[in-house]
Amino acid sequence: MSEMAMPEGVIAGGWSYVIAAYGLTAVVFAGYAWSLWRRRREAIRDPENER
Amino acid sequence: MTRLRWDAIVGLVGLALLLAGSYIGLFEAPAERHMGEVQRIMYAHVPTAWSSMLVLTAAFVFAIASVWSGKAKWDAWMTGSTEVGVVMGALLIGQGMIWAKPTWGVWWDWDVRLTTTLIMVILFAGILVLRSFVEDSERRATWSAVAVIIGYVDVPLVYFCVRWWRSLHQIQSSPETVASTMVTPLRINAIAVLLIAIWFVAQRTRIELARRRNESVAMPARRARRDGETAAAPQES
Repeated sequence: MSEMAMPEGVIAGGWSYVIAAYGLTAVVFAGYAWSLWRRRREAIRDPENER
Repeated sequence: MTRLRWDAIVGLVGLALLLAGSYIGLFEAPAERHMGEVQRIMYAHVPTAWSSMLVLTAAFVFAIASVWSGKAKWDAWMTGSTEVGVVMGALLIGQGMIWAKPTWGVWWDWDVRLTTTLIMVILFAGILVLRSFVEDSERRATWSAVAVIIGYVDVPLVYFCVRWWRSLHQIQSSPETVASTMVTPLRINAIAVLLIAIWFVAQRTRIELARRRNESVAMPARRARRDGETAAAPQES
């Protein structure tokens, strides 16, 4: 059985995409953690707090 | 001395593992033969995908528990899991788009994997948005649990669609198909992102429980105010 031919060559200059993907991950994790911290403080501080 | 809660330990261990796994993935693991350095996105993208689906599976289980028992704590856990699943799913799509551009030549394609993932995120985000409009906590818990149970149908579709239908997206990798030097950072980051997701869910659940307590204080007062206003209103003849 013949295998599907793989194209030759390597994608060049990929580091900018890698940095973008890891940067996005860091921003989303940090941003969401901050949002949770802020909402938790509001929910605990204000007993009359309503959604 | 302040005692650390279990979820704080889980979060800290997750963060430490994520830093270690990402370092190995970025600087120690070899570049892939065809994709080159771009393949390093896998060490963030695949753990995010697994975690989003696992967290939404937890939401499905909590939804069943909520409908079954009617207890507020299951509704809170379901809400926490659903929100974290949506955040992870949105991040997953963003990472995937960044990986797609250099490898597929486009940021987005209406491929079955990408489309079912987008549907998953929109569906669960929609449940969270609609949930915020329902004032009665019991009705809110019941219908949102039912919506999560129905919406969960899409999650196995996201996972298996690449095997069931023709897709531009590659099928799931396994340790047999990935070099051992790449498996280590992938496994470390998979555990790390899952632990961070568990920490997120625990925090969001605490917020929901606090809101429920606040509601139980505020609702009777609001009802009494409303009833008083109705009784004081002049009667039309």
